[in-house]
Amino acid sequence: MKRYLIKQLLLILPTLLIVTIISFAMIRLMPADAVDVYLVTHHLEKNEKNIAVAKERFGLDEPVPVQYLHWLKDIIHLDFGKTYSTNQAVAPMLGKALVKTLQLAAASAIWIVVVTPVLGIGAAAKPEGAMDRLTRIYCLCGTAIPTFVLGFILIRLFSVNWKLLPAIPDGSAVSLILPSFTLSLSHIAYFVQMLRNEMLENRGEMFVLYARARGLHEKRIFWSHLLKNSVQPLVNTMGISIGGLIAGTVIVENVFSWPGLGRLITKAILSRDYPVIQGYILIVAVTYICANTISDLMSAIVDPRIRLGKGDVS
Amino acid sequence: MIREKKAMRPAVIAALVFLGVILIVMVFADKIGIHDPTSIDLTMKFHGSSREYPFGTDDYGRCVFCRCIYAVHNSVEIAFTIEIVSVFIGMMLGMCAAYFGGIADQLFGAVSNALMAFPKVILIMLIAAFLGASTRNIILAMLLVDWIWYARISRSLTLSLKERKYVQAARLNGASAPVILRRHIAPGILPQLAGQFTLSLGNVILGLAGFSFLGIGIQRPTPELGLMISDGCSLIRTNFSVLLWPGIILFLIVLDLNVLGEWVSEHLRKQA
Repeated sequence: MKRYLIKQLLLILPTLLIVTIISFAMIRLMPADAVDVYLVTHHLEKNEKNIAVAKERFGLDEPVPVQYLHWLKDIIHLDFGKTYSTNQAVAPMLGKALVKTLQLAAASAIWIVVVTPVLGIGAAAKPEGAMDRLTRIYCLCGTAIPTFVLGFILIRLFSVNWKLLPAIPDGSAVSLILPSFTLSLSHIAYFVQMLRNEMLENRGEMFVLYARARGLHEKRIFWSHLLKNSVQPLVNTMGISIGGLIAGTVIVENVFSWPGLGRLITKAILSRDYPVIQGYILIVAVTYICANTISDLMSAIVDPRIRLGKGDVS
Repeated sequence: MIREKKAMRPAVIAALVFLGVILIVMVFADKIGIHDPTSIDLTMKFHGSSREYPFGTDDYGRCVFCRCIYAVHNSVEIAFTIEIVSVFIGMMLGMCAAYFGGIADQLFGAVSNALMAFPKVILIMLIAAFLGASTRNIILAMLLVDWIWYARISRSLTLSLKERKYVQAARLNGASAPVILRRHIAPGILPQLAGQFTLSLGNVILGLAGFSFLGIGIQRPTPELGLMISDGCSLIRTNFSVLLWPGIILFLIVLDLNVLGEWVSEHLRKQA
């Protein structure tokens, strides 16, 4: 296990390096570069002397690899530069927004972890039963409904009509309920479908037959043999779906005016604020890589075949 | 395999009927939508639902029903174009990667893995950010990400098809690679892409609406479902129907294409 852990952690480094190179290259390829912005914001004429001064100021007169190393040093010290639009430091801004987005994602994860087993197990316990049919309708609709439409319908019902929950964040945990539910609905549908299909498929497997042949009680087979073996692929997918959750926050945060990364990036894109976009890419990439590594480790814990590097684990 | 036939049937029939409705809207959009979707008339503000304005009017006095009709027409047209081009590019690259193998295949693997390593939505957003917010750019950005699935399916199918006897016979007859790919391999792949095509069409429509909602997709005043919802969100307390209708229509279209996509994929799986 230790060996596997070290190997996985070492694999993170080259990926991270590639991400930093890409986001560095991206900002260099942007149509508006730092020099232009500097000249415009300082009301300087665009002549050769001023451009040279600005280049020296940003270190753009040095060769590109050296510039990259300087930039990397800044990034490691969490210095993402300043925004073009308001000249604020980017790092604290991103940090604050990241905390908000993580709150939202965590609350959604709670919804997913609580609701998925209830619906999935309920549906698989009695295929073709009422519960199963309802769940299937939910899965179909849940993956088709656009998050922003769902968000507005929930705001209308719970905040305007029934006045039960706040629509706009007021700092309390209650204001997390609507956005996190909106975010998690399609993910729950996806997981429920997966759990149900996995359980129904495993029903015909040899280990179930064997357990039955040993005379084990049906309930025991269901809970400790069938369920345990069906949860494994979900653990694996959980990591991948964290990427989906982060992507989903962009729309949900805009619907609920949630002051997280998604809102920040939308504003940055519309005002072409490249340092913010660059910082966002790095944060999302790091989160994504970490989530994938954690899910790899989790599946290695659940399934010994993976950590020993044996057997067909696809 | 688990889902039995009977329960699927009514849903599929309903989905096919709805697909027919979408097609009618596509063909007769200008006959069904009698009002100009962009003409502003403030005296007609917030009309209720009537015979002339089935969904009422919005805060600029524009007919919501007509705007929805034109929006569906635009979205489906754009999504269809994106998908057709994606299928074409994906098939070409996937087939070539698998058929020629070697460096071409490795390069393909590297590019597709790199593109798939990042959440799709964020990738599209970043490309759009790089290019600037406009209708053309969002289409380009979605294209850049969308072809990958078709390429991967084509690649894996080509790998098995190229070992078939009839392909080898063609090769022995001295047929050139382009001829083999076009006449012997492509016809075997195309039907297999149908399921992915239908599912993907729904996703692209949904994505397009989402990006337009955020302001980085289709730009005003073109009628678009996501834009209509974004415009309507300030009316959530007073005139909810202005944003509810486009939402419902968007939901129904995506649901429809999802149901059909599942059905087609299942069909293909059974054949295999």
